[in-house]
Amino acid sequence: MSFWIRSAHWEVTMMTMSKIMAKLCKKNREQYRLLGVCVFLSVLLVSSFTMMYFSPSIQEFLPSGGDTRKLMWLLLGVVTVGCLIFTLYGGSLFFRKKSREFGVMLALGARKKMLAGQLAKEVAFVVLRYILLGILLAVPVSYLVWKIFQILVINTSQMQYRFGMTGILAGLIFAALLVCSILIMGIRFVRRTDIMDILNASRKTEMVREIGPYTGKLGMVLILAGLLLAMAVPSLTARLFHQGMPAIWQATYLLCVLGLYLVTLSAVGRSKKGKRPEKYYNNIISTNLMRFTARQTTRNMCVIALLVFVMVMAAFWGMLYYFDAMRQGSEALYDYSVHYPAKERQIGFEETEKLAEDHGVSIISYEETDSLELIVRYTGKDMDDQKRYFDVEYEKLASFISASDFARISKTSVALEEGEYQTVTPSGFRETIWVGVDCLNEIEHPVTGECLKPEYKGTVVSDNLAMTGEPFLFLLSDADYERFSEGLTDDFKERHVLFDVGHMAAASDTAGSVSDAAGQEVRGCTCKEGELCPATYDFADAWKRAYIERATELSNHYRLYDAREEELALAAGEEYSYAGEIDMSPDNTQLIGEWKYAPFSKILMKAETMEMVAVFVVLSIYISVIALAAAGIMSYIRSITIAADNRQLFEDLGKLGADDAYKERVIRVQLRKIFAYPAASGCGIVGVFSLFLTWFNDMNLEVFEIKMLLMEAVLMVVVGAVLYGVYRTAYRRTKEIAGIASFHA
Amino acid sequence: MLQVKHLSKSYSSGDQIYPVLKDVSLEVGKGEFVAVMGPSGSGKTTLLNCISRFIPHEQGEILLADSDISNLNGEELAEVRNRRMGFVFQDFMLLDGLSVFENICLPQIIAHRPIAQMEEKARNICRLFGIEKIMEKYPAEISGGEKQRTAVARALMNQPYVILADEPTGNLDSKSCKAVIDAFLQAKKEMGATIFMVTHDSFAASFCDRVIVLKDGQVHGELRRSRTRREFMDELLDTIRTLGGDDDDNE
Repeated sequence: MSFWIRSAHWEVTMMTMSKIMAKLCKKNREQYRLLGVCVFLSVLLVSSFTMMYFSPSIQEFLPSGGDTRKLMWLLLGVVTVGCLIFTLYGGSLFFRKKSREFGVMLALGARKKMLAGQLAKEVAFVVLRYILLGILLAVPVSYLVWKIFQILVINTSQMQYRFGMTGILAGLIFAALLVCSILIMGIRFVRRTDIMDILNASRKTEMVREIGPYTGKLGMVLILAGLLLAMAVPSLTARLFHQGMPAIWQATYLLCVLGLYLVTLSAVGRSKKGKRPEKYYNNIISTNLMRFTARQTTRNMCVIALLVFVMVMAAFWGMLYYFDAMRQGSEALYDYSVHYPAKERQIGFEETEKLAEDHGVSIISYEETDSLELIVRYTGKDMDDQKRYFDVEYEKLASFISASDFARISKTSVALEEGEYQTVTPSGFRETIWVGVDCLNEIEHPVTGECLKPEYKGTVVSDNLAMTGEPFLFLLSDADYERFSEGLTDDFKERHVLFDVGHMAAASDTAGSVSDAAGQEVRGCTCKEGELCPATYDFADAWKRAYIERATELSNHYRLYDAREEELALAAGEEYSYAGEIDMSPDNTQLIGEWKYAPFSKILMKAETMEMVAVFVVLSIYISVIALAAAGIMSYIRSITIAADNRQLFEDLGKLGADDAYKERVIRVQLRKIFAYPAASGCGIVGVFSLFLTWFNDMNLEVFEIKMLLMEAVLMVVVGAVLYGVYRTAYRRTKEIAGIASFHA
Repeated sequence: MLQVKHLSKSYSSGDQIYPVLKDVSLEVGKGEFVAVMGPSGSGKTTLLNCISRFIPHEQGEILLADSDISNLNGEELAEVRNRRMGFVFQDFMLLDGLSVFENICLPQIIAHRPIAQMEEKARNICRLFGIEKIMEKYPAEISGGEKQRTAVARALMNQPYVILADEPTGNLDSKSCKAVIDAFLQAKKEMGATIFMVTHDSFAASFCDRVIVLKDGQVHGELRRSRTRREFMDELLDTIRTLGGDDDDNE
């Protein structure tokens, strides 16, 4: 009997305690929602990113073990840390707010174990619910983001989005990491035994030491010094002393982080009457509000600034890749070009013309020429383990074209005397440290052994031809070309084919028309500029497939393969690293990047290379969106925390006669600091970083790079606009929390 | 009811050690209303926090109804706080998310007491303290005096051996202050409550049976109310003035 009574009583009382807890939960739903939203957003952002990154659609496009993957892992790490930070920040606020409730319960005799169990239940319910929601929503979000980018960037329906379990698993791992972190926070919170501390935790303030007048200036100097040391010094030492800097040198970037901390600390905690006492007194409340949470506020603002940095940097990188890919080959004189071993029976003029006709296009111009594959000895540079550059004498085969053939193809005049050579470069070429355009020491006939020590006579530009030579393609005088041709079999020759195509002209529309190779009247594509012309694309694709089909083992080589180098390596008993065959299937997405004899077509370059680049662009821009979201959320949370923590102060100000307008001003000044300083410092650092990156790369700024830097400035304006939107929302909410009814702003 | 024997407590900052309580001993009898006064920095609040075991002390014993609570573990301490002690804080410490009635019920809810009995008791206490009209209101909707009376009512819910009050009138105007003191007096008269109150307010202390005066962490003296309240207050004011100051004590 007594058992039943006890059971019934237990049930009733437990229900009551649960009800009380449920009521407290309901009343404090803002805290729970804040924690939940932080968890939800971070899981959503990270999971949708991992779902996209680990999607088979993207994984098949990214070269295995390449730099792109490394960079992506780095960015993924940054995103994960960013999301983790803002979620933990949300978590710390939750526990801080919870501490009062916890403390009162403890003071009234509640058992810690019971409270901890209840807290764990509540937190688990919120966290797990939002994690589930985040992961479920990540599936359509990643799909939608992909679709949007497909329309805006990828511009082809060929690349379909496919889900992979790895992405979902990675999202779940992140969620588990989040749960563990919040669990650790909870355990730390519960373990605090001093009730006084718990009771006072929600109104705890911290005072920083007096901030010196030079703190901000010192911070600026450190930021600049850090950037200069990390970016300028390795570039300068490489150029001046042929000595690279060790990897540890990257630690000089930490000076920037320290500088950023000092600048922010100065902005947060330092105020001086100076020459403008009225400003000092106007901002006295705001400054003092911040000063008492200076360390925490500074840390938060630094993280926001770093997120802004990541945001702009990732987007800048994405844009740089995109536009760099867009302009690749765009300067080429011929829309189509290809080179292949002369012994290979490849698709010729007639077949190409037939293919063109089948696709409703016509060959406008068609050029063919042979290049000689001669042994060259040239000097280049390499780097040892101690990052020291040293000269290396290379010996390999290089392509040579006669001056008259080049003049015919490039429609420019070239004058070379016997014993002279010129180097063919792409347009906008900048010399690197690895090899100079005047590198040739000696040319040798591979059959007769005849040698020539040629004299360098400058460079000529041809984008089509330049991409066929490694390190370069060279020109010889007609006389030297003739001499070296003698005794040279087709084993040492390559054929170069270059041509353009145009849409068949409509009878009534002959404006801008030209004649095709057969004398027929054709004109350029009828499609609008910037649009992909289906007929031309189909022809290009069919031509590429036909070309690949004809390719034999003669041309089945990796991009950097060289027959002479292989011969020398084998003779020395060494393994040749570029040996081997590649998958010559037209559907191999890596073929264009890996194949020594890959065909060039502007339209395919745009459609196919862009697909590969677009993957990186999509991921970079998505990362920047995540970083921006993280920065916005952190700024918002920081803002409303200030209002919630200082509600009493706003009441007191009212008692002292401050009207709503005055209180609003106090809030505005606070919030502006929280939003403006990190945005300004993040953008400022990334601006200088990008400038140094582009300048110290080759000690020069190209027009393209200047355009990119200007575009980055536009991007910063966009970041500013987004953060301003968040600021307005935070401002409204902050006023509500501070109990300011009227909205003067 | 409450005995403190040779209690010592110090705070440290870096290498410096600051003794706050030095060998304090005192006693509060059953049904007694005792105040602790003293100038700023004398150790009043620290004494209360040590008695309630909110902060640890270095030496001494604290006996509640003859049982030593100095060495209790967390579980035992929770039970003592719930059933043997009641707390009233300067800033009320009511839970904003619960109504006045629910706040008052909280100690019994924590103790898993039967609901009907608990609710009946809470209603009676509300009636006793004149707060039955605000029972369904939330802390944000009531005055400071009403908040503190709610806190006193909550402290009495489990009929504790002693109510420990830390500057209960510190945040109140004179009218509310009187209402809270009346609530204590009513609790003492109607329920036989024992009250140990830390205050700097001579007016509030003048209603007590006895006032223990602390100075520099030691019991400096004790004043017993033998004449009228007015005369007792004058006596307290003189004593405090002699000791040097009557500022807020938030150590």
